[in-house]
Amino acid sequence: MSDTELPPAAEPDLFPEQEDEVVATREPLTARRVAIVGVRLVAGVVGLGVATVTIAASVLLPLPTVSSTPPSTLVTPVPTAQQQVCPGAVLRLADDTGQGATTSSALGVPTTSSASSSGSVTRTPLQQSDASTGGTAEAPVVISTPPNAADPAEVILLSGAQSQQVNEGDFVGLAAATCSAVSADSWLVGGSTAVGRTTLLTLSNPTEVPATVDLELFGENGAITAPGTSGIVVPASGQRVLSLAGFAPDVVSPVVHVTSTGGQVTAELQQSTVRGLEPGGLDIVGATVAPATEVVIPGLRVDDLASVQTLLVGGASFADLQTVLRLYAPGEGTVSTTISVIPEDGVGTGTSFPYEFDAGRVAEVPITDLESGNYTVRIVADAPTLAAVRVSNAAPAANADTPAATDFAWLTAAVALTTTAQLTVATGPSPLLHIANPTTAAVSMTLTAAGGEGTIVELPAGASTSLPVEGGETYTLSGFDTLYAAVSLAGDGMIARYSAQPSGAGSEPIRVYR
Amino acid sequence: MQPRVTAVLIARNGAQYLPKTLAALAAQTRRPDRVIPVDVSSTDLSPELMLKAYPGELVRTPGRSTFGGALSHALASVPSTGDDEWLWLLGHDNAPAPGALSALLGAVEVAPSVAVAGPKLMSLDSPDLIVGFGETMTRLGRSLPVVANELDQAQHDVQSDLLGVAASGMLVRRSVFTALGGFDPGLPSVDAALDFCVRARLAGHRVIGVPSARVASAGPVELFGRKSLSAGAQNRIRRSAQLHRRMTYAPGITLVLHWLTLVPLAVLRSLAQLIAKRPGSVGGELAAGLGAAFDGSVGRARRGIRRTRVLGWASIAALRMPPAELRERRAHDRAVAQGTGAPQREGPGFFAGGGAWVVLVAAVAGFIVFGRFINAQALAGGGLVPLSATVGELWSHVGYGWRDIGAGFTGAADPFAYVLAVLGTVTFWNPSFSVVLIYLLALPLAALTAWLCAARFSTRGWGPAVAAIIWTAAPPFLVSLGDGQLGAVIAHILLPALVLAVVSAARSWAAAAGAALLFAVVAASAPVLVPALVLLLLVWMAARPTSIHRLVGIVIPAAALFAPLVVQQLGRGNWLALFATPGHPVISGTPSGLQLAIGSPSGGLHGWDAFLDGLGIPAGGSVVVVVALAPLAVLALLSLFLPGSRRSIPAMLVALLGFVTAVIAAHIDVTLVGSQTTSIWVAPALSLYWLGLAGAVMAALESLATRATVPAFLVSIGVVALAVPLFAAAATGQTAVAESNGRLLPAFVSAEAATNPGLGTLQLSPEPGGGIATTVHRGLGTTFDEQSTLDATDTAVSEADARLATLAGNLASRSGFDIAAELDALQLGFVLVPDGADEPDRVRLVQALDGNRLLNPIGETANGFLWHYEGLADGVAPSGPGATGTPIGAGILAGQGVIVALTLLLAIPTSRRRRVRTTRAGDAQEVTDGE
Repeated sequence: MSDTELPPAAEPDLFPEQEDEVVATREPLTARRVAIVGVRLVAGVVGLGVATVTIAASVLLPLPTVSSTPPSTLVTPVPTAQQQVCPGAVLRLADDTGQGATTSSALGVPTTSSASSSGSVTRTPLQQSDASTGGTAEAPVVISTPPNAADPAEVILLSGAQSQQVNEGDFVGLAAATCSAVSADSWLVGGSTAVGRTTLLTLSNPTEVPATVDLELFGENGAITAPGTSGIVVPASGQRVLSLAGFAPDVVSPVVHVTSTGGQVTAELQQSTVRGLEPGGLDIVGATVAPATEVVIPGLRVDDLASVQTLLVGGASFADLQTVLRLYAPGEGTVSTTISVIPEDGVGTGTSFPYEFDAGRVAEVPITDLESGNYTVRIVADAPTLAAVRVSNAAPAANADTPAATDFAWLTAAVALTTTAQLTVATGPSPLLHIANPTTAAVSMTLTAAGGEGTIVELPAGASTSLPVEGGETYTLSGFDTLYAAVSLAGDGMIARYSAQPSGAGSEPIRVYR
Repeated sequence: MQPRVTAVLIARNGAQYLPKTLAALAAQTRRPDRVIPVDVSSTDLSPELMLKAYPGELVRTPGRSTFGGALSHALASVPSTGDDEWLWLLGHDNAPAPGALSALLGAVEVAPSVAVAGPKLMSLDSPDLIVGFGETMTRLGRSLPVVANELDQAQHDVQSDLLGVAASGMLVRRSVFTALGGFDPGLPSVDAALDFCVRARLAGHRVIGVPSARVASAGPVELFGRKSLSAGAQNRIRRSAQLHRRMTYAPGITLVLHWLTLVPLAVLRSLAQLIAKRPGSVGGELAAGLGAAFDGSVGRARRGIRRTRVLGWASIAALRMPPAELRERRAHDRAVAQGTGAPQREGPGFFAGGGAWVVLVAAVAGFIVFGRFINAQALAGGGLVPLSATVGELWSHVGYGWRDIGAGFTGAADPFAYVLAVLGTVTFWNPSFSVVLIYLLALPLAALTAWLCAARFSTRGWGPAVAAIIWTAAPPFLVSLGDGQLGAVIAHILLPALVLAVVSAARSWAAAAGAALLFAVVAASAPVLVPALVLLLLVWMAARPTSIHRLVGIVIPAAALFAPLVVQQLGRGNWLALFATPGHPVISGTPSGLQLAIGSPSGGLHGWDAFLDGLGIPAGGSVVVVVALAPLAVLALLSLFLPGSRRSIPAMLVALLGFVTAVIAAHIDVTLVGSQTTSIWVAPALSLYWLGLAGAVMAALESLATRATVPAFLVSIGVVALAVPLFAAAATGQTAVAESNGRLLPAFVSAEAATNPGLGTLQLSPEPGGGIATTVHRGLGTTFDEQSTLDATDTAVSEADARLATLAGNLASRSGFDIAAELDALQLGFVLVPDGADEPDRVRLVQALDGNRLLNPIGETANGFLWHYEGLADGVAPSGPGATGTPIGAGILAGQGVIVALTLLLAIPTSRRRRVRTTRAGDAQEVTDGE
């Protein structure tokens, strides 16, 4: 562009530099002088034009950019054995004799079921535990399955679940939990350290390196600072058991954030309730979904509303039989939510209401007067929020002398399953598989029992349902885009529930640049 | 008995002289008894002319071209007429004065011992000038004329014994001539007559000069039959002759010694020729040395002397030029040379003209801005990383060999590595300190070069001062300093010096060589400037066509330094990558056209936008920039309307080229930084743009003369005001560059690597767009001088890269990969994850590394999070040959070294030297040329 205009501008260069003298001596206006001034004017105008055109062109012209592509390699990590940890036996502080109030001990042996799509599962107990269960059947169990040596790319699904029915002194109830993969960051919503409520935090590290765990605790009054919450070392292949009351006594609604460096861990809460002298149930609370703006909690199972309502009038210590939604949002400010309790199969009355709470403090929303039936709870919030539901089950007292049997379960949020998943049903009374489809599209899901025929389940948009399943059996869920699933067990005065985990996720390929 | 004289008239393409010579011969008072015209393969009318004068007698000498050869051939065909026969040797241009032969004969008749007599050779064009009268040797055997180029005032009119006389006009007894075997065929032209006379003397004869005999001469004997002879060829002929005589005259014992010193001496003399600014003579020196080493004619010549010699060498000692006289003559030549030097140009003096003040102010400004680095041992940040710890390592990173960067590869180093090696050598005790020094001295150095360059074109004192201020406060310079773009900083400091040298190069070899070195440094530091600078050089060549041979050479050292890189990049088909900014690659902003126009290399308004936004005045930055730059822009454009277009138009052309280069460079994203690309650093191009603007402003101020005070003041204030935020940012440490302890890796790694230089540290950097970038540091880390644009612009994944990527991908995951084996094989003892934002891939990476039982987390370090692989097995890290490890590498190193060293020798300033210029027929023999 502008370069081509240069030659005319260079013309005056040919003139000698005697111009200076011409000016200095103020010679009369000659033709030569007129010519020189004229050429100068032309040079100046041309130069001005070139400058304007060049700068304008650099601003206005869409100049192409020559760009190299950074070289990279998509590295698919070599598959390795998948493993999950099952929480192990329900624990108690103090032994049978009531001694040793700071050490924990096991309350029997859980029943663990597991399966992998490749058929081979190895079970290994953790080697160390604060509950002195290291290496025994009471210890947390690591289930693992090796990759397919012939086809390392094959996705192998692994799942496991455990259940334990306890009836020992003050500890009566049903606890069930899924086995889960380790994480460096998990949130626990559940438990209580109020009078009569004991909550233990268990940290299991199945990896080969020690994990250093930091805890953040939150309660109804906000963040709780306490000594000893950071730098908790969980040894390789070890379990730590910590009493939550040691950090946060008299907190009705704790939320625990567990982060680990070094090795990774699974974290659970174990809550047991004693009302006066009457056992009030127990539960193992697994990690819930990290804060999100949409939280789905399928499998809210209300079997006998009347029995619970009878007990609720019994006094303050029975207040926590009430079905309650615990909410927590990290950060500050007010969080606006819409809470929907949707009955399964569209039967019965649900409820939907707006709710606001302060971020940074744990809020509890009672969900009252639910008729007997199964429900899915869905929370839509304007800020990432954690949620879990506590539900109780009571059996009517056989006679006036014996207390009513009560148990409770913490319903953690379910992870959205987006690909074929495997689910193991823990053994226990009347197991149900709850599935929920909060999306706006209908979902068709195929449920296949091991070695069995597939059952196709159609689920309209926004609907949820439950299917009776076989305890100890492993099922494959396939053919859907997005689905939430949970398993519940319930009997008279017994309830337990856990959410389904995505399984079989190997390491994602990673792009590596030079 | 009356002596008989046979005149031998030898012509070679001498038609322009022959008529006069033939006429003079015919007009002799004592005519020769016989004339033998000899034609030496003439292509002009010479044979016809001679045939016309002497019908039927022409002797033709096919295949011969020398005077001596033609003479021997002619005499072989003419039988001798008796013992008292004399030969009178004449060339086509040797028109004798009428009484010449008579005088010569008169002199030899009275002295029977005289076998050779020579006339006084007069210039053909100016008969009063003695071209030559007698030849002699120094003690060391160098031949030189006894008298040359003197006005004939009868000062030499004393007949005297001489060591030798010239062949032209020589009268020699034929019997002696035949006995001595004539002229030595080993001496085709120069010194042939001297050598013959020496042999005559050794055989017991006398050689005399006859001043009353005058013969014309058109030029020295080596010019015989040639139109002209270049200085280099002339030197080669003379040197060859001298070496031939040395080998011929030397005593047998010392012959081997002489032979062994021939080539080394030739090399040494070549270097001396370079220092003496006679690069044209270098080839001749080497050719003469080699030729003498394989000179087959020496044996015959030595046998000839042995056969005919009757006297000892001592007999001629008295006729050699005594050392005292030699010294006197040289002193005289020097005095003459100095007297003819060009008068010094009038210009402002450095101290009187205010240059010292400007440099002093710049030094104070530099101290205020970078004084915080005064105790620094190294600088790092932005594009800067510390240099290698020792000079030896620095120099091991130049040339062609193993490049220990990333996965490592074998290839050519950036030419910038040479610049860094030289810099680091200056502060040999701590190479990184040289960068600190550059920062401390950057502003005064820029002011100094700008002032000196401007003073060359200015007649007024404050013009250069304004130029120095504009140049020192140039935004691209200050931004480059802040961003650690060392190459751009060096280029900015040297650009005015380069202009100065290139302008002077048209007249001086030393300046041309200096310009070549400066061009090489600027090109190596900022390759983006090469196209524009070469284009400007071509324009300058077109303007100075007579100096083209000096100007062409300016690109040679740079071409030599870039050649291996050019070959490799062209081999990859990535020629644009040649212009990639050398050094540690960093992401830089892409400036818009308007930002480039105001000289902002990384976008923004020189910090004014941020500064005024901070004060709550949005959009105030644009106003400030426009106001501050207005005087500069107006004056630069005004210069075109004012007298002095010889300066303003080239200056604006420089500005235009700089701007266009900057716009183009901003759109060439060839440098890869992990998952991102970045454009060429445009600051050097903007420096060129700024240089042109400053030049135009200077031209305008010169033209405005006494009315220039206010504009000069406004321009200076504007440019300085514009740069205030840049100065402030640098002074308050808000720049990327900061003091460094010189460590590239955490102290823990440095401690381990001190004993194991091959120890690798795998650096895994999570990328903003996902994924991770890998690199490997060996030993103490990848230093500044180890950076390579070949690596930074490589768009291919080599086998080694892929291997590293596989390791990195598996390290960043739970994986069944045999990480230990690979870490051992690659000798990687540490894994480093630099600090950064918490991208998902960073979380994944840190978790995977934390969860790997092979790796022991060391923790947070100054460079990022560090893991130690304690189980590292002993082994050898992947490596390749060094710069001298391969024949091609050694060859490249030697070639580049020789070219740069020769340029350096040529660039060393020496006092004015006698220089032999191309000799043309009729020219005075030797002239003094101003530098």
